[in-house]
Amino acid sequence: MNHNEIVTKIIAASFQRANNEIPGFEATPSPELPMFDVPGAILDSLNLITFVFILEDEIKKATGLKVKITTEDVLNNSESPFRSVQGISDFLLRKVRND
Amino acid sequence: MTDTFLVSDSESLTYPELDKKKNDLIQRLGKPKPVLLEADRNINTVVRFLSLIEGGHTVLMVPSWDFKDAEFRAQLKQLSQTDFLPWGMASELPEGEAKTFHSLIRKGLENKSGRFLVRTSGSSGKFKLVLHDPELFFRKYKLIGKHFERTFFFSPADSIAGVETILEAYSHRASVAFVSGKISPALVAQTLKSQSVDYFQTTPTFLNLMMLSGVFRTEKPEKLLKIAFGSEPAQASVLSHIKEKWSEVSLLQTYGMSEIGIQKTLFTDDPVYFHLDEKHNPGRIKNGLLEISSLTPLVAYLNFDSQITSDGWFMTHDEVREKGKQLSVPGREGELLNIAGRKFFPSEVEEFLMKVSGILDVIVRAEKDEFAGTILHAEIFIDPEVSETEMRKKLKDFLGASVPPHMHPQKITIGTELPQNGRFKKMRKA
Repeated sequence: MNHNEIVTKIIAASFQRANNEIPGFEATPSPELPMFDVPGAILDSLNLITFVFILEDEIKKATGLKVKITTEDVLNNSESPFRSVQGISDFLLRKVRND
Repeated sequence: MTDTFLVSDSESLTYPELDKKKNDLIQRLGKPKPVLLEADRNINTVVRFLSLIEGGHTVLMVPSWDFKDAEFRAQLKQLSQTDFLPWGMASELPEGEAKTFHSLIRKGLENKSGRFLVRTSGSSGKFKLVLHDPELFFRKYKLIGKHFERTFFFSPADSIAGVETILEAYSHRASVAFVSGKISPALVAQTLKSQSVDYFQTTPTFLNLMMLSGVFRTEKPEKLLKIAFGSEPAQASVLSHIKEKWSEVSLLQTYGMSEIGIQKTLFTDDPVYFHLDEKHNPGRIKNGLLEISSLTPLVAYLNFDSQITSDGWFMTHDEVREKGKQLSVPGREGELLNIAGRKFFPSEVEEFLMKVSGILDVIVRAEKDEFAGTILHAEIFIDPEVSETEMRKKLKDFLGASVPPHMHPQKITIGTELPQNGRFKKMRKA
C-alpha cells in the first residue's frame, strides 16, 4: 500500500465515517488540517479515541490487517502523529508496512 | 506564602479579593438554603461555592447540561426530597423559595453548618446524593499539612476531586492554576510551565494523552515536583517514560471516592500500586473488598443505605490486589465507569440511546483499552426498515444535542437482529 492509497482508502473513508458518527465533527481531510492538541484542532481528548477506532476499522477494511494504532511506539514517537492529517498518513504508512 | 488564589493566563483572584467577594456574597445570601450551582473550572464557581459553605448553606454543584435540564431538576427534587434553588446568573443569587427539605439538609441549615453534596451514580440508574461536611476536609488538610504551593484545576468542579482541589488549596492559602474551556495535553503542559505549578493531579488516561502528544519529551516545567493520578492504575510503560524524561518528578497513585474523598497515599517503588497512609486513612480487606477508615467520610447518603460498618469503616466495594501493603484496583464492582472524571453506569447510556426512534435494543458495555483506559462500546439493534447510515446520522445528532460528552460511546456497532437474550427494551420503552 502506498501513501496515495492510504490517503484515498483509509483517511478519506475515516473522515467520511467521522463526519457521520462523531458529534461535532465536520471536516474534509487536507494534509495540514490540525487534528489533535494543536491550535484549531478538530478532535478533543474524548473523540480522538473514537477517531482512532474508526481508523483501525478502516485499515482492516482496506488491507485485511488488524492493526492496533495506540501501541507503545506511537506513544514513544518523537512527535505525535495525530497533530495533522499528514502526520497520520505518514504514520499509517509505516504501521501498515511493518504489520 | 502566596497571595494568589486562582490564576489563569487571562485572569486571577487574590486572597484579599476572594475575602471581599465572599463577605459581600455571604451578606447578600442571607438565611441558609439549599442551592444548586452550575459548576465550571472558573473564578465565579469557586467564589460562589466557598461563600455558600461558609454562609451555612448546602450546595450541590452540577455540570451545565444538568443545571439547564428540567428533567434533571425534577429527578433531583424527587431523590433529595429537597427544593434546591438554582443560582440565578442575572441576580447573582439563588432564585425561588425552598419549601421541601430532607431532614439532614434541614438540620444542617438550622445549625448554619455549611454542607456540600456530591452526586455519584447508582446501579439502579438513579444517582446517589452524598452529603459532606467541609469541616472534616479542613481538619484533614491541617493534619496532612501543606504539600504544594500551586496545583492545577484538572478534575471537574462538581466531582469530589474538583471540590478537594478548591478546598485544599484554600485551606492552606495555596493557589490553583486553571484554563478556561476544554483541557488538552498541550494546554495543560503550557499552563504547568507558565503558572509554575508544583503539584499536578490527573488521571492515567490523560497521562497517556500527554505522552501521545510528546509532552514529556519537552523540558520539565521548572517548578513541577509531583504528579498524582487515580484511582485506576496507570500503564507501567507510561510511568517509566515519565520517570525517564522528567526524572525529578515524583509519581503518586491516589485513591478516592465521592463518599470518602481523596485518601492520603504514600509514595511507592511501583506507582502502579497505591499505598494507603495508615496513620491517616487505614484500609482493611474483607472478602477481597477494600474498606477504609477515612478522615472525610460522608455525613450520609440522602437517598441510599449507609455503607459504613458498625465499627466505622466505609465499604468501597472495590476488589483489590495486594502486594505487601501496596494495593491496586483492577476493576470496580458493578461496572461503574469513570470517564473524564465522571462516574456512571453503562445502563445510563442505554437509557439515553433508547430514546432514539428506530432503536429496538441497546447493550452498552465497558471495554478495557490499553491506551484509553475504559471505553464504551454500544451494540445497537435497529428496526430493519432504518438503514445503518441513517441511524448513524441520527445517533450523531442525538448524542451531540442530548448526551453529555463523557457518555458518548467510542465504538458503536449496529445490527438488525436482537440477541437471543435481548432485553426487549422496546416493550420497556412503551
